[in-house]
Amino acid sequence: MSNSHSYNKAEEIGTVVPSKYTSVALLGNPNVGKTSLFNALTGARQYVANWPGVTIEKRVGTMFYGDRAFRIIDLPGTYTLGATSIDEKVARDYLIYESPDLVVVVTDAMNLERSLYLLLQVLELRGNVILAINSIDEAKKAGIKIDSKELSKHLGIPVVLTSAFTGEGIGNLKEAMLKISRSGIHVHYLFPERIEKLISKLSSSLKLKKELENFDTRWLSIKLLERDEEVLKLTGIDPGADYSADIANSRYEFIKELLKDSYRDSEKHYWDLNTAIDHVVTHKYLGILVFFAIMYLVFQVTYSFAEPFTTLIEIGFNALGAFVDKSVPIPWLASLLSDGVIGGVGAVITFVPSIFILFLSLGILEETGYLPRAAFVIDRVMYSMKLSGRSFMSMLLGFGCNVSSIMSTRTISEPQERIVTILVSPFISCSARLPVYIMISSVFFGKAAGLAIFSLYVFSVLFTFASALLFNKLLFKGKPSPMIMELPRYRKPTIRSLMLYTWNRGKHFLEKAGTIILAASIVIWVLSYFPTGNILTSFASILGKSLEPLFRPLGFTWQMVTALIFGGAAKEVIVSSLSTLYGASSLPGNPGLATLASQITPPVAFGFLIFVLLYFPCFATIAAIKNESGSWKYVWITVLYGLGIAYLLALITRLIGGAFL
Amino acid sequence: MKITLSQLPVGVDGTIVEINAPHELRERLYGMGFIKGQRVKTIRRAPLRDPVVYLIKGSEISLREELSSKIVIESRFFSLDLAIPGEYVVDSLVGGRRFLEKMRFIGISKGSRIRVVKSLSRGKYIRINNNDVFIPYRQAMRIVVEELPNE
Repeated sequence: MSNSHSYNKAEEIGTVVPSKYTSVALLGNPNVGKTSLFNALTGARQYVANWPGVTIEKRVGTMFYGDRAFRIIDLPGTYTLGATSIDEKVARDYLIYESPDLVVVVTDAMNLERSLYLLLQVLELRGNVILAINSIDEAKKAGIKIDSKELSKHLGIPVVLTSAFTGEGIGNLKEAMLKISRSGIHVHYLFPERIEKLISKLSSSLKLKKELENFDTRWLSIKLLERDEEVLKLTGIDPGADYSADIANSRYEFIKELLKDSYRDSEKHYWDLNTAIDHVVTHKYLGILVFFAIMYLVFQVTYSFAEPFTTLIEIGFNALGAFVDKSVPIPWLASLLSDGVIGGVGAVITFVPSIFILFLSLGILEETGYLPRAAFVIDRVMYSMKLSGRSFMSMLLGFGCNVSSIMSTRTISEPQERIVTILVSPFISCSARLPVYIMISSVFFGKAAGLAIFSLYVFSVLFTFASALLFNKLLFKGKPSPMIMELPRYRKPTIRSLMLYTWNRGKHFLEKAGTIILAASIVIWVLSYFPTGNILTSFASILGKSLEPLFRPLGFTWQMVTALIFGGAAKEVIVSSLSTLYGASSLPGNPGLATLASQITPPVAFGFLIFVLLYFPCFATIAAIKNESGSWKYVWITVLYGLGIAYLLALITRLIGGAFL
Repeated sequence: MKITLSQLPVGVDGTIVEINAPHELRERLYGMGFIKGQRVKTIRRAPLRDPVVYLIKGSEISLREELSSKIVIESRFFSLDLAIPGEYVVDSLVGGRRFLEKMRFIGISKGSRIRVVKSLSRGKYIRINNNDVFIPYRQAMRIVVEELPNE
């Protein structure tokens, strides 16, 4: 357990080798300011990734202090070390199997009693623990007195008072980390006698099992008494009765005794401003008004503020593409560079403004504490789809862009709900599909064009809801996530934490999704350029022609099928592809599209629009799904389900439409 | 009287007696402070009535009715629709001016003593100021009463 390198050894290393990092896990309840503390410790030396196989964010940072380099891992916020939610499981598995050199348990000075519960669970598991009592500035203002020396004496571990907001105590925390990383202590606190008896009985039988020698038998015994399913399975022992309520009570009893001498609450009422704000934002009528106002604002900011930048980037890349096209003498190379590479990079870069602005607004909503309130207000509506209030905003953002929608699911804490939201997001009619609706509707539906477009939006919403129910049933047996949610105090976010929030997630998107989008753009270019350099005789057209019989029941022409293939790059590309393939500019009502109008009937056209709405999403969305769900499995589900259902519903539309017209 | 947490009126507190939630949620509830003997107070309802925010160990936790109906609490205060025959004092009325006026008309206001005579599924027969009145279920839900100890 003690990994105390001697002073000399550490100096010898000089330049730091990764394996010589002291690993530190930050653990704490949600909303205790753990991430702000993480930011305060690591500064900009951090990055965001996902825990392998799950949709939970992993933040890793580096800190240099004294003669040491520390690798700090910000574990997901959790209330217990059970294994019943994925957050808890990730945190617990990390502590058990990765066994970091030290653990800093971050607690909330304003709510110490509750947050010490987690500390006790960590102390049951291992040593080398530091207790950081955060938000001490707020507690002082509220008149709360905490005696850290007294606490440290009773617990037998270092206790530091910190404030990530003012920076108070951060130095002390670093010092404590340096000190403990050289010593290594493991203390045990005791349960009431009758539980201790059971623990020692179980311990002695567990010690006989060789395969468990890497585990702390005392901890295993406690977990067995709590009937922890994983430990029951691991040990193969069933102690019978469930003592979890007893054990939970004893932990709180212990905390009560502990705080008797070391914690003094104030008579002052510090909750007032908070209550006043909540009275408005969760009010019966006002609350809903505020909710929709804020949602509208986020939507507007994400798309409207970003638009001038997006346009500028598009113009820039188009100009660059045209310049390269002219200056490179070899035609195919010129086309590859201008259409494939520059076009592809341009496609990635155009996402930058909206993605960064999106994360900035999400950061503000999350750090101030409004996000849980929003979920609270709208939860009942989403619950009817077996989702929770958390997923509403993601779905709303989908009307702008499905990529933003999927990226914003990072704010959904329940992994199951997050997956369902990610899977149904592509069915929300994004703004890129609108040009396709407008073009086709103006050609085929005349005065009813507006109605046709409106009905597509209504259909999109209904279909998204139905799919959410379906996915919940198929993938998670229809069990809705429980939505046990804390409404934290409102907080003033720091500029630094907002910047880090935005930058880390935006960068992560660019790195991961960017590669896929770029690769897909080049593939699309190859399909449209080769073998002849003419789109009408390209691989894409050949593919469209050969797939056309498959789409004959739907009444699609080969040009339509080819345009759908190009739609993978971005849905609005369908418009330009159709125009090119029918040999005309994209202005509606032009002669090229008249050919289309003579080839297919209005029901087929509407079926085509339904198909455009539902079939596989654009590559950027697919990249986001892969990135956020962490698995190709969900990409396949999206693509196959989308294609299947699009085909089926386009066919039904044609048949029903054909019967009436 | 023992009622479920979901039945605890807004602004009222009670003591947790039993937690019947499924095992996998119980752990988390313990971690949030929901343990036997703990006091818990209803803070406010969401605009569409569900979920509800509760104050427990100094923090505000929102629970859906699905879960809060599985937590049993002991409270001296509850809505009239849950009352068994016996003596009660009206603690508060939840509703607008019209509702308050209607109640005043039959003699119910804050502090009035009532006796539940008979409990039916569609409402309660109560005795107030020597008059027998029938209070329909919907209205009874909006009258918060305090249990009077049996003399």
